Amino acid sequence: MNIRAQVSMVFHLDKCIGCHTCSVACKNIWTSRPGTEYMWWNNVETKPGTGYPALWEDQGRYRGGWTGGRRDGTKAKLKLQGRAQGLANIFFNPRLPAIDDYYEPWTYSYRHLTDAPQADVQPVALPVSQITGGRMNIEAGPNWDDDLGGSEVYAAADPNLAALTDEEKRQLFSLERMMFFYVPRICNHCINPACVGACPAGAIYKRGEDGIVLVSQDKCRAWRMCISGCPYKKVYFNWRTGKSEKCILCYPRQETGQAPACFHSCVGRIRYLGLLLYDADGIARASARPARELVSAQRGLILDPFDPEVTEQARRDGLDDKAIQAARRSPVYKYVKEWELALPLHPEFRTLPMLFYVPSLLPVAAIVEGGLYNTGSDYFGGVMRAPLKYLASLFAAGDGREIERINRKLVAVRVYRRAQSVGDIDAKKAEGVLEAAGLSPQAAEDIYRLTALAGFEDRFVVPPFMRERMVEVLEDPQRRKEDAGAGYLRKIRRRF
Amino acid sequence: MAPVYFAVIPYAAMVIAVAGGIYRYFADRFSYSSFSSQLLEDQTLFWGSVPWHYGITIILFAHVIPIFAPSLWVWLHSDPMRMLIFELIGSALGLLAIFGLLALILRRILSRRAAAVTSVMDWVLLAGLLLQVSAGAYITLFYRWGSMWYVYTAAPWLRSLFMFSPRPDLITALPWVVRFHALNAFVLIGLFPFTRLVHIFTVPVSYLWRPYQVVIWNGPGREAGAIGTGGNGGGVTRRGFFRKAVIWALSGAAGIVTAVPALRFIINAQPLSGLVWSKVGDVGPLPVDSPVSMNFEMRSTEAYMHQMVLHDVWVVRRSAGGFAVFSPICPHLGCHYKWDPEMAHFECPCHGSVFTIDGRVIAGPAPRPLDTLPYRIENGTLYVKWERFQVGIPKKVRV
Ligand code: SF4
Ligand code: SF4
Repeated sequence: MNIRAQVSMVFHLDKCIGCHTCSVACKNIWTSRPGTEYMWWNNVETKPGTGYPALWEDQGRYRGGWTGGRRDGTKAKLKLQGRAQGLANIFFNPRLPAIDDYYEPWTYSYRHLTDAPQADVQPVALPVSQITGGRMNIEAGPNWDDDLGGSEVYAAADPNLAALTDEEKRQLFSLERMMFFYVPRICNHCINPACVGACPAGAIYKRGEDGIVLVSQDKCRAWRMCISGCPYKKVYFNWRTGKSEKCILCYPRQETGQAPACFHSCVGRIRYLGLLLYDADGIARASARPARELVSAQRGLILDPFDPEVTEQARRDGLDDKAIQAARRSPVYKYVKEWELALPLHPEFRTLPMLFYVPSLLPVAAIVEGGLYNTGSDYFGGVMRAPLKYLASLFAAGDGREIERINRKLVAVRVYRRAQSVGDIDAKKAEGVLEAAGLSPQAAEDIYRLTALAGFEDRFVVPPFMRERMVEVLEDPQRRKEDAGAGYLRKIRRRF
Repeated sequence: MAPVYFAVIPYAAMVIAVAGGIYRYFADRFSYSSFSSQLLEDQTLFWGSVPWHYGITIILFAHVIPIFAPSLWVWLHSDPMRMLIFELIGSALGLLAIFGLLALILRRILSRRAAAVTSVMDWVLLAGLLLQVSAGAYITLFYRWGSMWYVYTAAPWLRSLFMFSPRPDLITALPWVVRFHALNAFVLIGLFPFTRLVHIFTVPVSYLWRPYQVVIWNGPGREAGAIGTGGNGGGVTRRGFFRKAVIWALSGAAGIVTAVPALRFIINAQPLSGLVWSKVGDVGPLPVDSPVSMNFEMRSTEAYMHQMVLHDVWVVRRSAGGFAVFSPICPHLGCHYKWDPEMAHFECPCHGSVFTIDGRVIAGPAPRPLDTLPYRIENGTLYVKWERFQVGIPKKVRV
């Protein structure tokens, strides 16, 4: 056993209102520089949808993630290419998304509004490309398909719909049955990251203390394999500096005890952050399991921070007591391991992502019974509006039972709370429902509190951080924010 | 002017490349990048980047091997069929590289996005490279069998540069295109630290064996790793000063190591090795009027290197009495010629020069007879003074 700590995340999809506040907060801090305009380290996608960059989930096209290899975890390979091939493809990466798969960033010629010569017509600000500076037609943008906009083109192309029959697809897009939900995405800070594995220069690394995955800007040589390697397309290429960049989980904020900006600013309070302890020796084996066992294998890697044996070993592996304390208070541990309510996005990519989602319990297609809006007499009889198979394709490598179990729990907590606060449900019955879902009343109470009432301190348990050694405490990290990015203290120029 | 073009400029270029490259690596590592623009334009790039890089890399290797392993190269080319194949492959790769380079240049002109990330130095570099490969292709197509004569003409000059005993005279006899090609090569080397060319030295071969996952610990407890994403101090702290001092010292030392022998040459431009008698072998068994190739070992002293080198000569026992000893290098462009017993003449495979047994030219482009070497015989043993002569000119001029 080799115990490591990982700053992990839970996004509760039922609470996301799709406001994009998180994306804007992130952009204002990290990607407001030339070369990064098109990057959204945090983006919020409507599902069903093609996402950003378009069709990122389609690994037939992008070849992200790992192949399983042998059962014992040896011989795992990047789906992208072998090592020698990685060098051979260095001159042209055949699986790299192009800027148009994201969108061409633009601004408007605002100056024209004041500088235009006198004329008979009002001047207008026309869109200009932020890459070439020339006029352009806007043909795509971030969230081009927000809220199912253009669904016949975008939502219909969602790779996850492959799990559905044609009839199911037709129903999904009929007006009465239409459903959608939001999936906010940031880098998952995977424990088997394919971006790291794909980087020929070895410039991407995982921080040992907290598992944050970073691109060393000084070592990156623009070989661009990480972008293809990451199945979530969460590494981006700065076309101006010739370097890859990605979400840094706001480690400079965390180092001073604050939650990452997207977490901090989240309007729906859907985000939770905390430490998980896991067994690093088990990574290879867990990521090689058959697709449908991946969720449980990953859960199996996560260790109980209350178990004295685990804490003993963790200390031997160099974790300090503060980290172990933080792991015990981690809201992520509760969602992922204790209650088993949160699932990784696309576990079949085999990177063991450490951002978990509580799948959305979309409105259950209900019946009206005796004047009461009822979701079915046993509360599970109602038909899920979101096709189980669709959610399973997103969060459980196609295993619908995982989703069903979670849905039962989510409904049971609601029933239990309704019995308490409205009182129109018999308490006995409510407890029966809880039991059927495998929850104790105490657990239901805790789920309710953490989901609905939790404050800052409960949602974000930022562990004690080891500061990056190169951060010069005496310098203002914002000094070069506009050209090089926060934390870069030197002027960067494309000199040659 | 030859010493300036073919000794001073090469050394200046190498000093700039080594010192500048090291300085840039340590002082501004951030700027080391291949600056890929594939994200912005990936249609033409494929047709440019792939042929260009593969073509030029293999050709570069073909230029380097004869410098350091000439005998291997000669052996590879000893068979005319093999030589023909090498020539064909070389020409094809050259054309491939030109095709790719043209595509890369057009792409940066025609694609607005690619043009937006093209710097002035990119244009300088592209122009230099285009001149270089065009000259190279011209030489390949119009001075045939360059894969062979290169090893006797330009390669010894390059080797002399690397041995720190430069012999610019070795290259002056060659046609002007060849001289331009050689000079421009060093101009490109000098451009190295000022362009994206630096990416050549960061080719990540270690990817072949490093573990897939990279974990770096910042704190104590486990072995500490390298630096993070972050920047380096901008102000002059004591550590900053120390850093700068180390960088300057490193690049300065590298520059001096390269510059000293170069300077020594400029101040004291003398060939460093003198002529000595070398023992070749017994003349007793030599047949009459039938040339025999004999080889011998010779001690060579160049710069810091003392080594034994293998040479060969053609020896003829004349029916009229006495001997003739010919240098094995064709006076045309420096190929190894052969004796054809059936036709009873010497013939050079490269450009078809034919010589009599006395060394007179009877056909082909050779500008002068075969070069004879001084010899003496002592107790039935042949001794020869090994010398080289400039090729391609009518006069026999010692190099
Ligand atoms: S989500 Fe992508 S970029 Fe983030 S750690 Fe995983 S593989 Fe790397
Ligand atoms: S800020 Fe929160 S609620 Fe709003 S889109 Fe982002 S994750 Fe969803």
